[in-house]
Amino acid sequence: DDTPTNSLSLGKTYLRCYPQADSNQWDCAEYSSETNLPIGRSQIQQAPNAYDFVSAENLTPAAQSALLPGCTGMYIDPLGDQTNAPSPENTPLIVEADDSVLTGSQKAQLDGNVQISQGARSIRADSMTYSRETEEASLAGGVTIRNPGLLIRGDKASMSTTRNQASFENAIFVLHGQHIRGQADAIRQTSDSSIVLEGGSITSCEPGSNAWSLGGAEIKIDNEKGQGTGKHITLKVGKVPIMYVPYIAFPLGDQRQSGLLFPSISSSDNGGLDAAVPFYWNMAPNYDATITPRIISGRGAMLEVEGRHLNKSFYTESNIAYLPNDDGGQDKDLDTLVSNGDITESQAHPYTGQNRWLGHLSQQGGSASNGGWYSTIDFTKVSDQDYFRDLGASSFSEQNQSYLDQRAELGYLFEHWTVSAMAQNRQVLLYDLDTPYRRAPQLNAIGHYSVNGFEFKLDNELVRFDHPSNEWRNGDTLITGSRLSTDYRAAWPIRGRWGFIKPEVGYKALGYQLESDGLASSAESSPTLGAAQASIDMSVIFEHRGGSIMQTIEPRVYYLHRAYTDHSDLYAVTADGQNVNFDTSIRTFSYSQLFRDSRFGGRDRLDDANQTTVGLTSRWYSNNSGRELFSASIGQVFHNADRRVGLNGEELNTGQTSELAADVSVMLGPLSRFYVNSIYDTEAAEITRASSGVYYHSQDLSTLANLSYSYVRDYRQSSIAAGTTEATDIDQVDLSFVTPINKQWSLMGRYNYDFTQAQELETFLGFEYNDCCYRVRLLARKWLDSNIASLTDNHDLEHDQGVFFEVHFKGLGGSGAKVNSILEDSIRGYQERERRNKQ
Amino acid sequence: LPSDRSQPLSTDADKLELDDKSGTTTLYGNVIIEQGSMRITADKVILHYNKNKLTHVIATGEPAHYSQVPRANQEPVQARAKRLEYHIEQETLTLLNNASLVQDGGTSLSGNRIDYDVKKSLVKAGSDIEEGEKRRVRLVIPAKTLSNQE
Amino acid sequence: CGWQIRGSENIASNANFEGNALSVKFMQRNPALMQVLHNTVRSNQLAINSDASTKLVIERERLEKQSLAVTETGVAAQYQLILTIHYHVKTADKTLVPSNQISSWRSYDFDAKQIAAKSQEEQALLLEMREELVNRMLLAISDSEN
Repeated sequence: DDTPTNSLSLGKTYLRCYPQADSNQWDCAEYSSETNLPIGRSQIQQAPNAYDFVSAENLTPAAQSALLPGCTGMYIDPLGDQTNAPSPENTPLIVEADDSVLTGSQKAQLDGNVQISQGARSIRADSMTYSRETEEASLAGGVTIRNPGLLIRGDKASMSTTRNQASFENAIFVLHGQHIRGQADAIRQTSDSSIVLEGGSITSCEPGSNAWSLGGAEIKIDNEKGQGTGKHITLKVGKVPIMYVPYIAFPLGDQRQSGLLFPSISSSDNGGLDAAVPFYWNMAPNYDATITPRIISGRGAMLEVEGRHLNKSFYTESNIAYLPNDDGGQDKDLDTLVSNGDITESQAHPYTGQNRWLGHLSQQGGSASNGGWYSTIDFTKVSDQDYFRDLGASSFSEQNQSYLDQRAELGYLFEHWTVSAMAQNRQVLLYDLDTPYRRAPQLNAIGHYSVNGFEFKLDNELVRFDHPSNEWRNGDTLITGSRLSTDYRAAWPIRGRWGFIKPEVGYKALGYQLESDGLASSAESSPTLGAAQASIDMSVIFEHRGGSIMQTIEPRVYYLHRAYTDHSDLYAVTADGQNVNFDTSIRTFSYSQLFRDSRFGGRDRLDDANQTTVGLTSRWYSNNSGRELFSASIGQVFHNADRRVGLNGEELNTGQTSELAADVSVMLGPLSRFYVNSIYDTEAAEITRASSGVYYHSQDLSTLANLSYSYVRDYRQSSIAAGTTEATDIDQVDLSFVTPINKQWSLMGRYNYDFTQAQELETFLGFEYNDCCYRVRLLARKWLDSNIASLTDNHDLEHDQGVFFEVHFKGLGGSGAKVNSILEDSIRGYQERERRNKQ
Repeated sequence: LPSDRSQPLSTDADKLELDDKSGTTTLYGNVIIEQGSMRITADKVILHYNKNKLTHVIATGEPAHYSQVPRANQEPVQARAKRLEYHIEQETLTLLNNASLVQDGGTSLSGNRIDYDVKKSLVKAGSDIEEGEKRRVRLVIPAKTLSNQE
Repeated sequence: CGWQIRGSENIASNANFEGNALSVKFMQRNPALMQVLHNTVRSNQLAINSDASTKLVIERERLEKQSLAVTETGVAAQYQLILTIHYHVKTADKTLVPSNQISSWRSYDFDAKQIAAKSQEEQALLLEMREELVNRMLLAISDSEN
């Protein structure tokens, strides 16, 4: 007769498990399927206990590598992942037992290690009675039900033989994929992956550890929607209940854990207590929301709502935050400033009584295929300039953001052309700084053709520069208008592995339509100018294949000539001598700048040039992996003629040579690198700029170490407050690291010091303790409070101290946004490390 | 059917041996025994008589087959085993060694030993063995009878 | 002394570009990189068509923008841009370039009084970094022996 297709007994043995009297542990013995006799006691010491828990040394290497930090093993589903299991209705019920009695064709009684299989569902019990009219079966004695990814064990159970439904008494369950287990007085299975616990509790801790557990009258777990809900829930740490919630919704595992479940508590001498308790609302597979009530002592209650939506053409994210009637905040440093009269009360608490809010919308759109239309929206607006400093997630760089982008772009990628329309505004977050021009709209059309060796590039841009007021803060006249700029190139590149030769000719043109009642009568309201250019860029690669290293020497020569064109129509066009300059500035000098065709960024100047750049690069590759191990470059520009076109008028520049630029980069491993970039002024014989750094990231990203130093000699930095431009050196070092001390403890820290101002910018030290089912992070931090930094030069007042503490219960979604944003912002690689730990 | 017992018994076989002393008739070679809706086919069948009244039938085969309609307009119950013992009086059938039985509606039961009480339509299956390797009882309930209740 | 000019054939004629064409798949929408990819592939005398046998899959593009230095009031004075592309290349029956990541580094001075101009400089740097990474990917395809 036919042997059963899917074998019932799980390999050679099966488990019979019974609840122990005292604890919620289960005692299991392993039985051989053939003889039904228990296998020798000694053998089952490390037998998988009731929860299918396999300790690390018994795991396959693949599973071992996926082991989350702090975990000693994993739940392994012996059924593997039969995802597309047919529903019970249309699969036969196959039952094996020692003895059975059938009465008529209606009732069957089976005894002795009863093993039932129905499609992907397999059940085991000591005895079973099945009745056909009710299509119910009741089971007793070490009952186990398995669906793919779900295991339930109980004393007694009744189950439907046509639907994936069963109800258990005194049972335990395991969701292997979500790493969650639990037990309850009664468990009802409502579909193949959803269960309801009555009077039970769940945890993601490993069997034997009850670090935390979520218990309550009723807990529903819907594995398919990846969500759990609970009524009358108590959170216990060990045996101690620490929180009661009448109703809770939490994301299961980390599928979409945008929600924080438990309070992230942080306190700093600045803002007092800052607690947020988020609720995650999983509305549908393609959209969800996280609603986070937040209380900030000294400010009041605040609500943050974040929504995400995905469909075939768009991915949209938006968040809104609202704090009605701000109490002004409490800041000891500000109070001391007020008390010794440096600033007034209203200066210390400028926003008392005001409503503070943030609105953010970001959207990526486009047709699914390669080309076609695309759209992006990136819009953020806040109620006031200090929003992020007072209410933000307090990462150093977020607090010191200089502006918020408000941009929308729609474009279409044709075969040879890319056409796009964009509108852009920016909200400036720094004190007494001009709002930049608004681009409303900007139209671009860029054509690219490659015709038997020739390459044509046709770049056209039309922008209308607008501005709410008609003069800058310092009273200078503000010019608005439209600018049409074109940049047409024809090149005949010959490219190969030996190097390249790229001769190119081009013509750049500019045309303005200036509108400003401040225009001088003599000024030309629609100036136009153009310049032809020619360049040739050549590089040859010589290689020397050594034993394990292949070295190259790559000389490169770049000659550029662009005719001088008179820019006087753009200089001093207003009564008070303002120049036309919508978006142009001098580009930062670096090795790659040597080979660019303009010394300006932006399109308002067609700088004259007659220069030859000579550069030399040497690279070393490892012969077996082919990866680049080391590269060094040095180069300089030799000016064959003086330059005249300047930003604010003609500036005769007679320098014969540019500064010397040199870069060195050494790869210390696939993710680790040491680099030095330096600029040396040959005339003044001094280094004018240098930056160097070493980034070491271990392969599993458990260890991160970043050290970077930056030096710029008399950096032209307009100190904003004073409005003057005084030269100060940049001389700063930034050390940040995360190192595991042992399997569960990691130490992390940052030291960011400014030698010029002789002050610490941000310093923190913290640790992270990883257990399998929870993580604790504590951070002691001191940082430059840019609110105050510009108001006083009293160093210790300028700094804020704070302790940031955060507990994250793994498996229930969410982790402290505050602590995360600090670490991700200051330690390079930490975001990737978080992303990897989530897998 | 309950009326089967009153039906005439017909036999067909390659060879037949009568042994009056022990009151048995032994038939060899694709033997077919029929009585009303009951039908047995086997390689060898021994009919046991007591005062020339048939008491029980022992059929052996590789395997031997048995089928009978338990009640009106029900499908016949099919049974197979290496050794069948059919007791006329008690109307019970014992299947030994690699036994299997298929009831009306397709529910099939297999095991080492099956005891089928035709009158009470009660089936007992066990896995204790006399010879041959041990086989556990196996019950297969096909899906279609599960979902729609005739 | 063993120095000689590297091999003379150009990238397009390399065997790994059958029918000197390439098909491209983006795991996440990225119009900017798609535009650079189309132009750079074309200027290497290669074509992009969806049924080419060599398939470049862009898994993820990640931009890290960190302040290398800050002014005394905490506002950024120098930004460092690190653009990383995670990608792999496969043909119908084998993997030419296994999944890996390549990065490009640039830094520039930031001045809060010239926000418009400095963001133009950043856009130009991003374009340059994408062109560099696309060229490195094409080179990796032509260098791969497996």
